[in-house]
Amino acid sequence: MTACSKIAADILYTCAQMVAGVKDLAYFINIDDIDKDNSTFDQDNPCLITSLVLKSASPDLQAFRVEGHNYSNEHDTALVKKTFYNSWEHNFRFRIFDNTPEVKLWIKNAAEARFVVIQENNYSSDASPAGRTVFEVLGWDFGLEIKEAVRVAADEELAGGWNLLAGCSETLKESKPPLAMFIGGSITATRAAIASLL
Amino acid sequence: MDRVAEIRAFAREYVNGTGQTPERKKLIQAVYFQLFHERLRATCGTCFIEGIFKIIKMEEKKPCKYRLRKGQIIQPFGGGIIINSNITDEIVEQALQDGTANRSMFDIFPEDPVIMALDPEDLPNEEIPELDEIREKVAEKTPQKKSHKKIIR
Repeated sequence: MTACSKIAADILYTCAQMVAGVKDLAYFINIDDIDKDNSTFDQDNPCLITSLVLKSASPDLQAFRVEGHNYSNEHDTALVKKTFYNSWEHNFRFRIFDNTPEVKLWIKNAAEARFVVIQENNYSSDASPAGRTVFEVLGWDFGLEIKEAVRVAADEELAGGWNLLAGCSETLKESKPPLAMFIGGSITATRAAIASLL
Repeated sequence: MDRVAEIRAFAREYVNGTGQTPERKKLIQAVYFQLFHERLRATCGTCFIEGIFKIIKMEEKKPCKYRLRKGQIIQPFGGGIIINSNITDEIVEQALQDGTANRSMFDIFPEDPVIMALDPEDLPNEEIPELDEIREKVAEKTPQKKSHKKIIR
């Protein structure tokens, strides 16, 4: 069997000045709460989510916000070459600037959960329609898990806060790079849709 | 007393400039965030007052019998973005007619809204099995017009 896919488009330099980093606010959604049957993708591009919907349940399911500070969130992704298939590693490092019992419980629950992270990039491409590079979804296939949760009480930078890393499991990696999220054809509609998840 | 009622209770006093305590400001911020999912800007003197008005107005909004699923939006032809905080029956019914919304987008959807809106006399007088069912449903939903059932049949 030869290759399953072919390169089908050019990528030309657009003079766009990229901006590094992700915003401090990220959204966490338990993977089981997402209604994948009713969430939709762009028909030409499986890396672009055009609707992310939660399942109907009582009490209501929702997304949860995790807010960092001074660009404390980080993200990286990488191709993982395997013998037969390629897969993708998604990592999201975030820091929690507190150590209350509620924070500890949150971390404990998160460490036993699998979740999707929606992150907001600082870079917003002007290419029409503008804003398609802003939101990204990590862990769509299997969800991310907490891989590191470290608190060093004497840490000077974090002052005793928590440093956490969410990433793919050791065995199950993602099938695609982080998915772009662009709903309703505009960044405003995308923001409204994300707000409605809360 | 729920938190919105509490805000309503001290709203007049707060707007008049008395009783602007840190606890009340905190409460306004918390309720504002809960309702609108955005931070109330606390950078100006009137921000909290505007927040109070917005909260009270939101609470007085006519209840809507539809509720969108979390993550769904409606983009009506006239422009704008509709989410659960600004949804109304009229918008939804228009969107359903326009095709900018459909049943699968809603968590709460009144049963058979089209049937409810129909008058039995509007239904065609033909022998179609599905129509018989609809006729029966219409007759059930509109008891004052039960006599129409005979006319249709």
